[in-house]
Amino acid sequence: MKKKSQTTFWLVIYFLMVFLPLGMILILPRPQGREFLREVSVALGFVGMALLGLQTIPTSRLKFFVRAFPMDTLYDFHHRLSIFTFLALLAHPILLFINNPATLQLLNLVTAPWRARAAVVAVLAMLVLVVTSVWREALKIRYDIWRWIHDGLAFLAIGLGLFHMFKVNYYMSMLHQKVIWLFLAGIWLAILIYMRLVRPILMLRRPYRVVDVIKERGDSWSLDLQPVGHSGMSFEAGQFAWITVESPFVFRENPFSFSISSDRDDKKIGFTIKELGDFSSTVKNMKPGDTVYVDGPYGTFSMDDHESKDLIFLAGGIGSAPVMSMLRTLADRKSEKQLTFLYGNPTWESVIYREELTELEKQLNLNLVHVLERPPEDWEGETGFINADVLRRNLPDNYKEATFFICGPLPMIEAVEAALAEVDVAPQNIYSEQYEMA
Amino acid sequence: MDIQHILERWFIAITIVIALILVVLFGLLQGGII
Repeated sequence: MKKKSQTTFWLVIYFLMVFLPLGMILILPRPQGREFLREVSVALGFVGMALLGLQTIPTSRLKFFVRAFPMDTLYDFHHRLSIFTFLALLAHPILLFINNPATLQLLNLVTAPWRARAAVVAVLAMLVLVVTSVWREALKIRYDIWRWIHDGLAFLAIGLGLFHMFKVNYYMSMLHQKVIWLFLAGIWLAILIYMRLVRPILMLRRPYRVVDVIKERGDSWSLDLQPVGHSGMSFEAGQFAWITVESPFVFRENPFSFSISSDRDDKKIGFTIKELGDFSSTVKNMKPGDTVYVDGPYGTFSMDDHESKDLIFLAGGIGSAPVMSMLRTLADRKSEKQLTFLYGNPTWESVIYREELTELEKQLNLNLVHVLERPPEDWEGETGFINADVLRRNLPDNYKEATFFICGPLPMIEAVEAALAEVDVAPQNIYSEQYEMA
Repeated sequence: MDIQHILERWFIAITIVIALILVVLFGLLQGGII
């Protein structure tokens, strides 16, 4: 299936999963209605539960699914829609209480029936889930610990929410509702089992060995890996993978872009990692022979869908890693495409791949433009940040027909996208990917 | 903003709008108002 058709297919499935349960109640014969607020509350509960279960999918990294969407948009989608989901499910009891204040008694866990107890605990679990997710860093919760908390609370909220629905048994008394919700619950459970059990086992069976750890400029390290006892993975330049040096069951993994050519014959995969956090700062201590587990490839940040177009890359710092993978791949393919690379860095000394990029300029039809925040005294190139003026001076004449790839931290991406809008680049010609997603 | 991120924001907005319309419609119908 083509990528566009895949995207459409999954969006149709998405809307069906969210709205089909409530839609079927509306379309088919249904039990007698009750007060307006009570029915609005029930409808919010149905939509909220469908959305809650659906949240297992965007971050599941299911290969056939993530092929259709950029991973960072899936995480963003999950973060934003989860807040709406929580608000919808919180509004469900609040409207019931407004409609009939006597129902406040259901909050008393000692006297309340089991259906209400389950609902109260489910809402509390979601509240803790939202607080620990939105303020994880402020609360100083370690990422791997938080993932267990997140998954445990999500599992609890979904399970208790379903229990509540089946026990209330009003609209759920209809056979089609029982079938739909059991079917949806089966999908969510299967995804959880895949994420927490099947995928780690698959990763354990396909280990990689460190073959090289190379110091790069800008506090970065290139890590080359060779598959052990299996055929490795084929990736597209610009994609990324999750890496862990511990058991895949620990879930202390980090996403990094491939930085080597995707067209190599030796099965080797390679990443360039900047010392930014706990894991990335330990890369320099890795030794040849160490075992690493890799989950990938992922991402739609790929030039392979834009074969016929000229390419313009805009990257900041370590955001150059996927760009380097593309340039190395294009060099291997002896590409004659017109290429432009605007590369922002704090200083000349921190320019990762500086020497190799000069070599690539000779091999490729590449216009390399360094943009330095703090240039050396004798610097005659671009200074400051990649803004509209820098773009006007350096983009090729036909830039409006080219495909743009932006990679860097979110503030850089936003600033560059604003600058591209200033010079009239159409949004459909821009692809961006930010570093951090979780 | 690139097209994929624009579409993502649109789908969140569309989801919320459809959800709210359905929810109110459900309330009106089952509440006997329409």
